Amino acid sequence: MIGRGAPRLLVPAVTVAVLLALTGCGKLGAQPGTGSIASSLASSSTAATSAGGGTDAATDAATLNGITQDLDSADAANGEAGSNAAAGDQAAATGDEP
Amino acid sequence: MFRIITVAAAAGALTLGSLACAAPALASTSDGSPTPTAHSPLSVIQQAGAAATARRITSLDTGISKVNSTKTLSSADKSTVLGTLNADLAGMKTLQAKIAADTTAATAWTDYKSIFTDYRVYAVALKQSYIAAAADGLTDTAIPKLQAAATKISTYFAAHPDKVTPELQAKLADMQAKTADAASKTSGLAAAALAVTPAAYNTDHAVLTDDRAAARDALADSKAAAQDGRDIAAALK
Repeated sequence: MIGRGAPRLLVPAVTVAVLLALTGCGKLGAQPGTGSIASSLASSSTAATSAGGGTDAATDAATLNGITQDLDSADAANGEAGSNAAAGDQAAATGDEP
Repeated sequence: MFRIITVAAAAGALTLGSLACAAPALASTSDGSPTPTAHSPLSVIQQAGAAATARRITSLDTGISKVNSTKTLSSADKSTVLGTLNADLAGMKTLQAKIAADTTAATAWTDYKSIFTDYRVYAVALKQSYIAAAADGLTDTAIPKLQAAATKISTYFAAHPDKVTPELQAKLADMQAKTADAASKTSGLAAAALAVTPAAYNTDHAVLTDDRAAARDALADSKAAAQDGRDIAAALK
């Protein structure tokens, strides 16, 4: 029985061993390899990095937008201050003597 | 007359939306001629007094209306300005009625002079209001916005050192320095301008000159800082 059952056990064992060797799974500090399930994980990891880059780009865009908005507000306030300063000059030029 | 209307229209166009919209009422630069003297007949003094008070009443009405609607002045300074302008308005109306009712040239002359020496509507009241409005606009809005923009630019520079050139660094440093200068020049400026009285002006006609110059210089700094910010933003995009 033992002798007849050995080949039936050997094929799956060799298959598992080959898979482990190809994927690198089972080793200490195993790294995902190409053409394995691990490569899918690697792809996911790359996608996450890309999403992070997108977030960085959005943050940069928001920062630049914020700078522009602050400068718009400052320009508007400068414009009003300029008008008031000009009116002050005009008042100064107005006669106020008996 | 055409000149007055032209100047008034130009001033109105320039000052749309600000306290300076009161400017058209200031367009005429004199109280008419001939200017009465201590020896003028009663009727001449009364006529000049009526014109001078009416002109100031119009200017004050316009100024009060604009102060009520402006968002440039801080609430505390707005209260001070309105107190002065309303008191001057009441004073002008009182003088207008009194001069019209005066029965001697000497009394009318004394009242006529009071229009100027006791109020200084143009030389002090309105002028100090404009200086305060300009200073408050810089202090409360322009300068804080410039500081916020500079902070954001610094943050961006730190995150992207590869994009920072020596020229951009210099622009940012200039922006921060100009903003600091503007803040320094406007510090206490509105309060100082609003503290000037007609009596102080009577003693020293240049009493508001330094305040006016400070507002002008601070505005120039603020504009230069904003331009630095624009240049940097354009380079980063």
